[in-house]
Amino acid sequence: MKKYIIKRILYIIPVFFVISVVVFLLIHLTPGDPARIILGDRATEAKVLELRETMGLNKPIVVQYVDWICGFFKGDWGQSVFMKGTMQEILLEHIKPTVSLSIYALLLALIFSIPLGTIAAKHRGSMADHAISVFSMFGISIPSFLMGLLLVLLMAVKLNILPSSGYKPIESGLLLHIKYLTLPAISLGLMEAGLITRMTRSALLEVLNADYIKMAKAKGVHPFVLTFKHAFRNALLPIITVIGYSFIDLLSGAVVVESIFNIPGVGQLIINSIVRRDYQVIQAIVLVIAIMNVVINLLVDLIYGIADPRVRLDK
Amino acid sequence: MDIKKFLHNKMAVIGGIITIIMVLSAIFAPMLTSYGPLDMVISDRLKAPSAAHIFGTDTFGRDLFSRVLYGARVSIGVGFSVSILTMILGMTVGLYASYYKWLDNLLMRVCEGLKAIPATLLAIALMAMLGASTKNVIISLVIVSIPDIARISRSSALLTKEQTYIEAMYALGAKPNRIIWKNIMPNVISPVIVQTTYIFASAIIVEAALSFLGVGVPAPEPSWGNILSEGKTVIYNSWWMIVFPGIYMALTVLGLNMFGDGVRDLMDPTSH
Repeated sequence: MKKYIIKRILYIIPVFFVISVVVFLLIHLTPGDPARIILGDRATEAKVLELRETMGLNKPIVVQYVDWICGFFKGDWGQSVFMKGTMQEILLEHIKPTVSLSIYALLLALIFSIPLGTIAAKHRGSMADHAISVFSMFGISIPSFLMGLLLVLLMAVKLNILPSSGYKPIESGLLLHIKYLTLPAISLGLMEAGLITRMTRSALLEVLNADYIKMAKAKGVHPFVLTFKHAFRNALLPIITVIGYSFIDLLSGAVVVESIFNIPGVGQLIINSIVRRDYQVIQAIVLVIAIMNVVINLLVDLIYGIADPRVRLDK
Repeated sequence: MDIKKFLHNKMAVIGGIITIIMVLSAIFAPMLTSYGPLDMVISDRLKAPSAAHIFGTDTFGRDLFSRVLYGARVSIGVGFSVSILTMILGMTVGLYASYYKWLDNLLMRVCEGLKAIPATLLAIALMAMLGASTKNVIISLVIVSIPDIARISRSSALLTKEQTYIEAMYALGAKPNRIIWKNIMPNVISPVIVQTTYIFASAIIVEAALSFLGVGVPAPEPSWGNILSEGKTVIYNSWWMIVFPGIYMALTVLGLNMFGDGVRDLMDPTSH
């Protein structure tokens, strides 16, 4: 197990290197001089030269990369042109609503998809199975921002039950926090719900067809015990993986949904930064979310390794 | 592929029909509507659906039906270009990675790194840097989708490479390029095509999201994302601006996904 953990952690290094190079190069994709673009046409030449100097744009590109990545490890994540405070403070302030929304959406998705997937697998080929397939197909095909717009239209304009815009931080009361996040979470969670339903169904079907389950059935094990004790445990592994991946999907999907519901999260930060040409903020956001993704994948793999000995003994 | 079997798979057939209808309506847009997508009639702004404008009109008095149809040209066009380019480039990466071991490590690490950045986020960041334009949307989406195809074609190619006949080709002195494209590629193409239909669908969704956020296809040109973004500002009094383009986009994506699933089931004997 130790060997597996070490191997898995070492494996992160090249991935991190590639991510950092991609994020670093982003700013060099801007057409023309980044300093000029950030400051706009009206800035004086002296100002532009000054910014070039502080951003280190005059140095060779490799030196710039090394400076940038060393700075990152030392805690210097770049400087926003428009906002005060360190990059960490800015990100932390904006990531809270986004994480809150993603967790809520994931919980909603799980509450619906795991039972639905289980029912579909247990009654394969029945009407319920077909209905559930259609539901998940629709879930996968309706993009979150469209679902968001439709929900706003339906709930806020016609029914007026839930707030269709705005955000209340968790400090102002959990219930209020949840109330404001419900429509965004439904729109965000629907696609994941579709995916997890399908995954649960196929994972469970595979296990239910296994010989040891047939054996247990032949011995007269109660169907309920059979599904939940014998089958579900083995089907859980692929489901855990999907949940891990889903969380990151949700985080980046939240970027789009936030703009509909006016939630002051990472999405709003990135869109504002694009308008303001505050490129270092965009770089920092992409880098941080990519690192979160790598860490979550690592955790999923480690859980996998603990749960299933075959994984860590492989290779 | 067995055509009879395909026709037996209802999902795939329905999906295929929906997709074909959507593509045809985009191609024949000028024949289906007499309004131009950019023709403004200010006195007709935000009119509800009627006989003259079956989908209603938008904030500039442009005919929404015409905009949705012409928007299909842009959105489906972007999706199509992205999927074809991704298929060619991704397969090239995957095939060469599977053949040359030194290249494998390099290319696969790059793909993993790219994959670690969530696709929508990377696409938004790329668009922020490159600037909003249809060409840049295609470039960003291709960069984001290549790793998927590369991984799939590499893993099927690795299996094929182990076959005796490939070894025989090698022993006979066939050139690597010949083995890769003539002998390995045909075995890789089916899973790649299935994945490509999903990329087609997701490219349409991400393009719409980018345009919705204002970093995709630039304004007056119609794309479903643009129309929806405009619809958002008038959502409280003009429902048709959301509902019609929304249904149109969802149906297209649904059709592609159903088609992809059907083809996948056909090719995978274990799923029967």
